[in-house]
Amino acid sequence: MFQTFKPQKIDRHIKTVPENISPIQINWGTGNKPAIISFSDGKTDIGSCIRCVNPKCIEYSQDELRLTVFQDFPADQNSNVCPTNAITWPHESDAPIINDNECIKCALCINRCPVKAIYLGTNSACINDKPNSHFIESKEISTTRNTEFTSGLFSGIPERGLYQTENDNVFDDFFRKFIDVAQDQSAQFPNHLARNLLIANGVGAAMRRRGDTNIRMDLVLGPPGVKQGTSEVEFGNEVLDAPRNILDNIAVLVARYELSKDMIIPVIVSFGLPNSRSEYFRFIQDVKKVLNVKINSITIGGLILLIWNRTKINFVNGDELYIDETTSSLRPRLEAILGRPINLEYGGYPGLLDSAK
Amino acid sequence: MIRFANPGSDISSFIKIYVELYNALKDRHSFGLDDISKTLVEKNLATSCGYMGQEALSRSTRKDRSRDQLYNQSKMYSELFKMLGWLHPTPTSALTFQFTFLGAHIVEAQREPEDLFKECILGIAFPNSILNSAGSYVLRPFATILKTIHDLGGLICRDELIIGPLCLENDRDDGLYKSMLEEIQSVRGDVRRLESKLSDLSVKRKIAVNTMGNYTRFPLAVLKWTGWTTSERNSEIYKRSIPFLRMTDLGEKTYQYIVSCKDFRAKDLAQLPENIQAALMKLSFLDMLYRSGFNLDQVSDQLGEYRHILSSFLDNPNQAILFSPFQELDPELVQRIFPNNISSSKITKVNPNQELLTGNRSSLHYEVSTKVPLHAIKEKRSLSSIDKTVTKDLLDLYDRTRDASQCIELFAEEIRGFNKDKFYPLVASLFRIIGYDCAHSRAGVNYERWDAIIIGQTDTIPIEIKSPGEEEFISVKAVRQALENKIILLSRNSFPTILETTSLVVGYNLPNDRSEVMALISNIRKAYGIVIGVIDIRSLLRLVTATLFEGKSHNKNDIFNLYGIIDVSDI
Repeated sequence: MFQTFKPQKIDRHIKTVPENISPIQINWGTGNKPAIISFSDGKTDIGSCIRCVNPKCIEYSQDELRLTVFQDFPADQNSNVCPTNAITWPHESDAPIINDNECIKCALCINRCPVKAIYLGTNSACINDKPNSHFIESKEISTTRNTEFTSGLFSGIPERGLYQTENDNVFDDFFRKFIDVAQDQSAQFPNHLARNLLIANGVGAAMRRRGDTNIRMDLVLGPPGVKQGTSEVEFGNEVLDAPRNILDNIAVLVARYELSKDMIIPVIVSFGLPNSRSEYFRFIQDVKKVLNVKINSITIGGLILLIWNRTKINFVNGDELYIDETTSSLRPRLEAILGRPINLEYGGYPGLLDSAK
Repeated sequence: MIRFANPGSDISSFIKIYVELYNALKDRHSFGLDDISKTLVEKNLATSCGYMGQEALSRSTRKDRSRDQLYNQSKMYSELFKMLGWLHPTPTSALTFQFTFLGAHIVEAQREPEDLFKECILGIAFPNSILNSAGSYVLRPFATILKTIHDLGGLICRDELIIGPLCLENDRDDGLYKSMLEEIQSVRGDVRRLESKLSDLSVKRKIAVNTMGNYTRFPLAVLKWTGWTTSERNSEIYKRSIPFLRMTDLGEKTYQYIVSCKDFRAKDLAQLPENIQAALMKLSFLDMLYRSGFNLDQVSDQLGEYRHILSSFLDNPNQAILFSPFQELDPELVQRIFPNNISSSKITKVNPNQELLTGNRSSLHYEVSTKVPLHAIKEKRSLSSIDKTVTKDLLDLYDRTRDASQCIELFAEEIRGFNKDKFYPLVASLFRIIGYDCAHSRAGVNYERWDAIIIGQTDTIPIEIKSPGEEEFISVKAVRQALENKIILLSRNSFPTILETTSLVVGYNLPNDRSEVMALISNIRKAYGIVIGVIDIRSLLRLVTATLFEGKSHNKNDIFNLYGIIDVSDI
């Protein structure tokens, strides 16, 4: 084929740890500061950017975005981790940078940083690029060593603590900033955000391509976290239509993949739960009664809360996030996943945990 | 107007699609639109007729290629790829293609194709030897768009793009550019002036206003994706809130860069000696790559040499050149100048998939319909005042025309503007006239989700109604609502019903995309065992006229079992 010119190599000053030292524990404490890493030499250090060859904080690999179910679903393969594109790596910068005006503090990048170099600051996620005595920059370090390092060395290391302790003020701030940032995003933003939050929560997800009028469902879901499922994502009043739309999704998947309706887990992702007087919860109850289909509901804030706590959702029974007219609050469901009470008095922002009255 | 195809407005996906096509077809000497369609389907990058994968391909393929969705999608992609210089037509056919040396660099750029993409966007110029573009435009569209936004103070709206830079006949004629700018400035302040200008343009160019809007989708997506503009609503310029594009700092920087460049066009090149032409082509292309972050160390000497040869044509020795040979010049000439631009692969015959061309598709198995046979019955009914009025109106029309079909058409035309306040009671009334106990729901009663209901002694049919004011053609949305109505009725037991009884949709016209609606109805029955029937207003009126004027009636139970779209053709 063509003998092309190659892109200029950018000298990223990549780092790694010496061969004889490895991390043994990570501690996030109560959040809002870089993680403290304990090493096998008995010393501790804070997480610091090692300038990954393939920066996981910025981009998913195509393999990570590939679902093992619904393989011919025409997915939007947008591989950006940050749904607002707040994290970038300019050529002139040693490490990635985060635009604090665009960052909504979802912690997706933090969740993916293999060396725990990103943490939640007051206004945005922050990347710690201060020197770290265990992460050594060397011209001799091969890219392979850096890549192996990022993918293997830290995986499975016990972690404690959380990225952010929740309270009402934190979610108030989140709500204000989200409203501000979301209005400048593309029409695909809700699906992009929901897909990435679900992936971070351990649920495989693929989103439809915007403008593909032949596919109506917003997301399809698959392993890990769920055998197979579908999701509708609504950030506005359209959430009231989501239960009936998700029944459409199930019907299409049943016909297309010869599945039983009971095998497909439906999940509605909304920004906030609808008003308790709306028909949303009552209809979900009707659907359960008539079709024995349990439609799960989760909010963006709820998904972020779980990420801040480094927990994962695992749909074993398929109704882990099922709420209806009798219990229109996500609080008990999320507390069951977290294994502790949630420290939000009035629910963070309207509809985050409890439906507005 | 410069027409940009719009296969999709997500630029990242657009680039990824090119990369996928390149990786799949790069070893072919050339390929056609069917090869593109096939690759799009294999990579799950396209759907058609509500289907994914191979099913989409077989359902899309039609003998009449102009109606073939995937074929048209592939054609739109190829047009834009050609415009960007990533594909060239082969000498024998405008619809068979080869990848270009420039396109190979988009693939090479891997994760960071943005800079080269922007270069290609600025490289688009008309006329060129790649595209058979309509009109006689002399225009570098994106450079002109940025210049126009700059000169308008940083803001432009979509319709101004249409009447302005996208219709500018010659961007090298200062007088024409100035009048274009003045025209935009003159319509500002009153949105009616803008609408009127757009409407005049539509007549003059013989393009529908909506279509002109569609031609702007790709440019608008590019302007946003490149970061040259952002979107905002502005209510000051036209005294009405309208979406505008605002030039960003990056957009302004790009504009300043364009102004500083030496802008060559294909026509300029033709007047230069051959050695200068070659130097200009090579330097301009290699500079594009250099600015996009490619390592050109191996040709740095030649670059200096080309610059030296061209020095007398540049304002200063380091002046950047705005010219993209792969996007403007005859592919054969470009191949002569860039020896790398020759595929090393063996020539393989382009093999349009004959099976796809000729059809050989399975029949649309979800095309279901229920016939409603009519039997003459005479029945006593108690009719309300609205029923009497509707009956009288229909009788009057029938008296005038003495023809049931004409009567139906005239009546349907009369109610075309009806909103739900008038249409819902009318539908309920029509059902009563043909013998059903039908009531429409009161507005604002949340727990009664259906718009009307047919109440039988032991069974009930919920009806979802769409007035022509809401949607002229019945859509999947109405079918979804019919499913919801049935679930609510079964769950809340407000009226007696059983699972097998139909849930009706009544609307003005049958679905525009009948196959999509029918597929959903079929899927719903398969998944949930719930049956949905669809009736358009003319079919309902046909049942009414048969009852009123022909003394016929139908078996009332048939409506309770209606599955799919009603067929009254045998009345």
